[in-house]
Amino acid sequence: MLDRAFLETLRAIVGDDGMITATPALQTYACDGLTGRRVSPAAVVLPLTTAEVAEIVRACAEAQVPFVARGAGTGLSGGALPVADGVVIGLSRMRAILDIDLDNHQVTVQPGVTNLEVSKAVRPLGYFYAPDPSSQQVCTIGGNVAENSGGAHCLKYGFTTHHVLGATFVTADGRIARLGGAVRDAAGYDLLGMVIGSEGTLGIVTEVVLRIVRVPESTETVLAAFATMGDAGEAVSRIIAAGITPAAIEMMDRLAIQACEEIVHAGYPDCGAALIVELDGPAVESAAFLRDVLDICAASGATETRVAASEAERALIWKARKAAFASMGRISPNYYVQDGVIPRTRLRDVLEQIGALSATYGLRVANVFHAGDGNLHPLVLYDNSEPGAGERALQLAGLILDACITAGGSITGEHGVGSDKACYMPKMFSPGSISVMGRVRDAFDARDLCNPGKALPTPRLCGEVPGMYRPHAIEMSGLAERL
Amino acid sequence: MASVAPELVLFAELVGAAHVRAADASDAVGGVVPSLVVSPADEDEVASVLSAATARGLAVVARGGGTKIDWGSPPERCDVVLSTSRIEGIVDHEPADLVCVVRAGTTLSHLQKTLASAPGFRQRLMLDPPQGDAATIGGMLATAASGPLRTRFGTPRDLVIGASFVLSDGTVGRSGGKVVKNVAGFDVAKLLIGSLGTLAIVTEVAFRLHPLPAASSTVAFESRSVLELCEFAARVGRLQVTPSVVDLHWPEGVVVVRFDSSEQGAAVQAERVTRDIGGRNLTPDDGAALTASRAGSPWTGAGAVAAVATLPARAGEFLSSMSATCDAVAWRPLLGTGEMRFAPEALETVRTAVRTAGGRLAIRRGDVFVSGDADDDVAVDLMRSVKRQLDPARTLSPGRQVGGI
Repeated sequence: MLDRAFLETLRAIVGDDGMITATPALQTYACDGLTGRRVSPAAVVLPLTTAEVAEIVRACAEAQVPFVARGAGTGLSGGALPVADGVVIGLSRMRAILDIDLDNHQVTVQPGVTNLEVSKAVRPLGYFYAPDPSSQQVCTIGGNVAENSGGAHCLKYGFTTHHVLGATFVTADGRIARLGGAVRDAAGYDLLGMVIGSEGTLGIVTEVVLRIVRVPESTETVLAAFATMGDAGEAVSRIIAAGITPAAIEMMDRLAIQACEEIVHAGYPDCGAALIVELDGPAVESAAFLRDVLDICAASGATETRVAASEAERALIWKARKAAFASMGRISPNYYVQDGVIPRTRLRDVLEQIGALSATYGLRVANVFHAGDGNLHPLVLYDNSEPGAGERALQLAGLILDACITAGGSITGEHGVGSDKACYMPKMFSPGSISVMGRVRDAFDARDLCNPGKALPTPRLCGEVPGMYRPHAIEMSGLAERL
Repeated sequence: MASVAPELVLFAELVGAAHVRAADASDAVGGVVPSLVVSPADEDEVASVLSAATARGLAVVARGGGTKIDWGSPPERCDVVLSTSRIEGIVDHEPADLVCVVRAGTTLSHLQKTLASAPGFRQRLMLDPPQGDAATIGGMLATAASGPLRTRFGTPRDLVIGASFVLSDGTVGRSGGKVVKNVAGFDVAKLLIGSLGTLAIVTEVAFRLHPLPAASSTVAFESRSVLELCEFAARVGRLQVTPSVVDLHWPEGVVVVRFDSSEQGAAVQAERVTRDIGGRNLTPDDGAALTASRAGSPWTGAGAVAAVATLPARAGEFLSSMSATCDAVAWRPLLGTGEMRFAPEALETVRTAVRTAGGRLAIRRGDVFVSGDADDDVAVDLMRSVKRQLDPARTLSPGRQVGGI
């Protein structure tokens, strides 16, 4: 329990309407999108300004109380998991778009602004904000900065780190710093680059300068059907190798297609694997690349290709794709979503391994993923009422990550390490590498108060020897659909 | 330098006698002459050299091609130059994956040649820093150097997907990996890129690559008015086109816009520029000739060189005020960044103008070296804290960063 005097200090900063201490209301903040892990915080504060955030953090630092910043809570790795007897700093009320500067192709926002609100604000002017995580209707820019979020179109446009120019940053002891800025090439170390993707463990961003991009002249969307995942994977490798950079390349397997069709009825062909390839840019260029992509698909054994003839057809193709996670409920009582990365040239090989693991464990695995950058999202389907099924599914999901690492990939492409995969880090990084990361963390937050226990393994969490990876159940209901 | 002999022996034991030598005046770093030049063969030898230097309180400056060794403030101390010349070669190139892993001492030109000639593929690392031929990968990272391609592809931070490095206590670390999408662990490489060698010595780097374009088209717009040149560039930025290069050159009075794409894609975009806002569509030969004639600007010629940044929309006014002061300017109008050459005695004039424009300045060549004006005390304090954590003994390039870090 936090002592009364400390809570009164917080209340004095944010006022009664910015403070939550009642148990039922606190439970709303007990987890993020990784709902299997829950910890109720001692208090939630909802500041309105940078100064308030800094005062809260100073109060926490003085009282040695851990604090966790939170946006919309859509993260899938438990990155916003509260600390018991700690404070959650909810940034949802800081949701103003502060400045739209078309002359300099920049927008300045508070961290609680949703990703989609940025694009909506500038689209009528012919611009958009490129990173597009599929929770973009609800996820916030602050959370995107913490996680270095990507999205389907990051294949061409890059991640959050490529689109943030500057930030106002509250340090772990409550000071206010300007990192980067509207003018490029700030002197000294790239602290901004370090903070982006650090999962909220180094401090809290309270204002962000974003780069906006001109809307492309034309967009072409292809839906291609293949007999096998291997054939579709081959087409992906050939498209990348041909020097074409599509805006997005997404893949779904038969199981995923069937599940989506039950909900969306988008008319996907009944096939072993479907690819969605989107090309954008000047009309002539996307038309030329479209021809190349169609040729490559045919040469890779596509049984059917369709090009969206209208905006409505394009929207329908994407609707089915984006419904993939949500639709799993139609074909399985329970499922886990995994997030791993492999080199793009290893798609066929690793997908075969996943198929073999699925057979060995007697559990179905649906594959829906960002094929263009090798970011897999295998969905392990199981029935919790069947004894031992949950355990087997956990093991299978862990072995898929092992396969990703063996193939030269990564344990997470976009969902983050969070509290979920912290103990998996030693499988990917040497003790020396992890110690350097820990020293960077200490440089920003020597007292370990700022979102402790996330991103990096600790002996307390993981034991002296890293244990078997244990993903936690994810209940997606109530979340926006996610690619 | 009485202590040189025992240290020469010490380092000779670590890397072999053939790879340690007494330094001379040509090895000076920012005017500071070191005692020794040590050339370790690999990461392990870098670790042992750094541990030994740190244990003895010796300062170490890493050197690649030496093309940008004077960027940053002069080091407070420099006992050992650690040459990366033997940490050389391409470790891995997966052309179908558009990824390569390369050792830090490899020259950029060697890497580009190899990438362009992989059987069945023609690829490139989309970085073209000044003095790029002799520049090494490690030096390019330490200085975060970029060139005209920055407009489309960014700087080293945007294309590095992983790095291996050694801290001054001999700790060997790695961040990132060799896949283009990856959020596992802290991206420590971001701190090292542009660190001027003050935090760690990078030994190996993984890059994201791009295909060499099938075709290029170049548009040139000429004017004797800097404001007109800037306005033209701004209008290019508002078109639905994707140029690789938009560079303004002064005193030549030209904006060069280059499109790299498919044959048709490049031509159509160039035509759109000339049709909608003006300029001349150059023949491929003329385009190549113009690019070649501007390459190296503003570095060719005597004088001080500064890197400057302003808000893109304020550059016209700023550059106009500088047109008489500067002998040469190469500017990226869409980013508001560039380099300018001027007589050393004009430094204060340039500084004042940059300040008035709300911009940033770093001296890259001249009598006085400035690694940039720190504009936020708290940020600099965090930088000091990072330095204390990663290099507490201040072995690596002490004093070269902002705030004397």
